[in-house]
Amino acid sequence: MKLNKTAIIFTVLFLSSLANQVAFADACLPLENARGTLENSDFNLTYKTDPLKISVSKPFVLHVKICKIDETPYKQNLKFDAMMPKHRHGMNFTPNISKQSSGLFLIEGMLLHMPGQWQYKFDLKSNGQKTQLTNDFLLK
Amino acid sequence: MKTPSICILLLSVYIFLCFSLPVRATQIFTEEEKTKILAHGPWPPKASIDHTNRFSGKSDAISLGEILFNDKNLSSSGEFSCSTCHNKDKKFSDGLKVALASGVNPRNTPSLINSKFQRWFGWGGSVDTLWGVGLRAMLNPLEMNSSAEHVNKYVSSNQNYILKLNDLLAPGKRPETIDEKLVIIGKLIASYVETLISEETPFDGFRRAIEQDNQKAMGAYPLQAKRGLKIFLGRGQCTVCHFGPLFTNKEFADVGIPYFIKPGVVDKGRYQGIRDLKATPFTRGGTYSDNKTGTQTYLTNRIKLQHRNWGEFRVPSLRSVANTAPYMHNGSLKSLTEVVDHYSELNEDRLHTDGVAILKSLNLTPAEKSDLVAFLESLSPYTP
Repeated sequence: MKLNKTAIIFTVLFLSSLANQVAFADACLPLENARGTLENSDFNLTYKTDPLKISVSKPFVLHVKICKIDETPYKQNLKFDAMMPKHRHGMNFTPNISKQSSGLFLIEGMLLHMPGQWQYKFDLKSNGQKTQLTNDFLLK
Repeated sequence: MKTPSICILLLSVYIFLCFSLPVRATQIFTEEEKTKILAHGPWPPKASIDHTNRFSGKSDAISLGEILFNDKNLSSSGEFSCSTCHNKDKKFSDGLKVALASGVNPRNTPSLINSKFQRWFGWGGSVDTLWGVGLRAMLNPLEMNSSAEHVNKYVSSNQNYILKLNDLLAPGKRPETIDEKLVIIGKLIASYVETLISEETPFDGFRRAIEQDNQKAMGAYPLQAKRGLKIFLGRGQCTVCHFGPLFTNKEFADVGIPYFIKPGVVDKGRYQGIRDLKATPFTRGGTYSDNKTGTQTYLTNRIKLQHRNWGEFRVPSLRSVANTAPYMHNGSLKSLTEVVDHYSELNEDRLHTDGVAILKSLNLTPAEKSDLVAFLESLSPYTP
C-alpha cells in the first residue's frame, strides 16, 4: 500500500511537470537580453537591436517579440515608426516589417540620423481596437 | 636679500604655470564631452571596397581612372575634364562660388576628398554611387555636356585606352552596349576618386591624445581651438548634423540658406534629389551595379519622399573645410567666419520646422566666433 501511494505521488508529480512543460512550449516568452520592455493591459512587448549598441546614422535592425497578456503570441499586423517628438519628424526611411513566428517580428532598414530624444511607436490591434506602445530614449 | 627672494618667487610661479597650463587646458572638457570627441575618430576609417564597382581598390584601374579624370576629351567640347572643377591644387574643388563648365551650375562644387565615405552624392543626393555621380556630371549639359556616344567614340579611337581596357576587362566580361561602356569609364574614374582621402589633422592628434590620456600631446592642441570645440559640442549643437569621423551624419538638412536660384526658380534640394535617385539607373541596386545586395541598396529602396525634403541639402563633411571655400550649396558664404556668422545670427523664421527648432541663432560674441573658426581650421591637415 505504502509503495503504491509513493508511486501515485511520483506519477502525479511527473504528469504535472509534463503538463507544465507542454504549457511552456506554447507560452509566448519575452526576448532574452531585451533592450526594451513595454507593457499595457493587453500586451507585453520586448525588443532588441542588432547590433546591440546603435549609433547615430548607422543602419540596424530591430527584433520584436509581442505576447498577449494570456501568454499567447500576438499574430496580427504590427505597424511601427520612430520619431523625434520634440522636432516632429521621423526617419528618412520606411522600415520593412516582416512577421516571423510566434509573435516575433523583424524590422529592417532602421537608421536614426540625429542624436537626441527618439520615440519608437508600435501600433497593435486588440479585439478590433487599435492600441499603441511607445518607448522614449536618448540616442547619443 | 629682497631681490633674490622675489626672483625665486617669480621663477616658482613661472615653473608652476609652465607645468600646470597643459593640464588645465585639457580639464576644460567633461567626461561626456571627451566621449563625444572620441566619437569623431579614428581617422581615416577602415578601408573598404565598393562592391558595386568591380574596379574598386584595384591599382591598374586606379591609374587608368586618374588619366581619365584629367582627360578633357571626354567632354563634348574637349574643354572640360573632371579635374577642371575638381582641381587637385584646390583639394579637388574649384574655389568658385558656383561651378562653371559648359554652363553655369547653380550649385557650388563640393570637394571630392573623402567622398568614398559618403552615403549619397551631390548636394541633393541624387545618386548613391560614386561612379554614378561622375557619370551624372559627364552627361549634365551644364557640366561636361557629354554623351555615351561621344565617350565611346573617343575612348575606342585611343590606342592607349584600348590596350589598358583590354588588360582590365576579362573576355566574357567586356561591356557590349554603349551605356555599359560608359559605365565602365565612370567606374574607373570612381576607383581613382576613392583614393582621395584627407590626411591627419591637429584635431585627430588631440583626439588620440585624449584616447591615450597623453597630457603633453593634449597640451599641443591650441587653447583657442579647444574653446571652439567646446562650443561645437555644446551650445552650438553642431554635432546634431556634423557627427562622427567624417563630421557629417551623411544626411540632409535645411540650415536657412535661400534656395531661390533666381526669381521664380527654386533649387528643390533633397526633394528633387530623391526623385532623381529613383529615376537613375546608376544606383547600387540598378542595372549597372556589380553587386545589388547590401544595406545601402536596402536604404535607397526604402527612402521616403517627404515635404520637409524641400530645401534640404547634404550635410557636408567638415574635414579639410578650411581649404574648400566658399561654402554652402550655393557657395554664398565666402569664408568660415561668414559661416559662423550665419549660424550666430540665424534667421529662425526662414527655417521650416514643425516642432522645437533644431537650429537656433547662437548669438556668439566676437571672441567665441574666433574660437569656433579656430576649431574648424583644426579639422584641416597640418600645413608644412
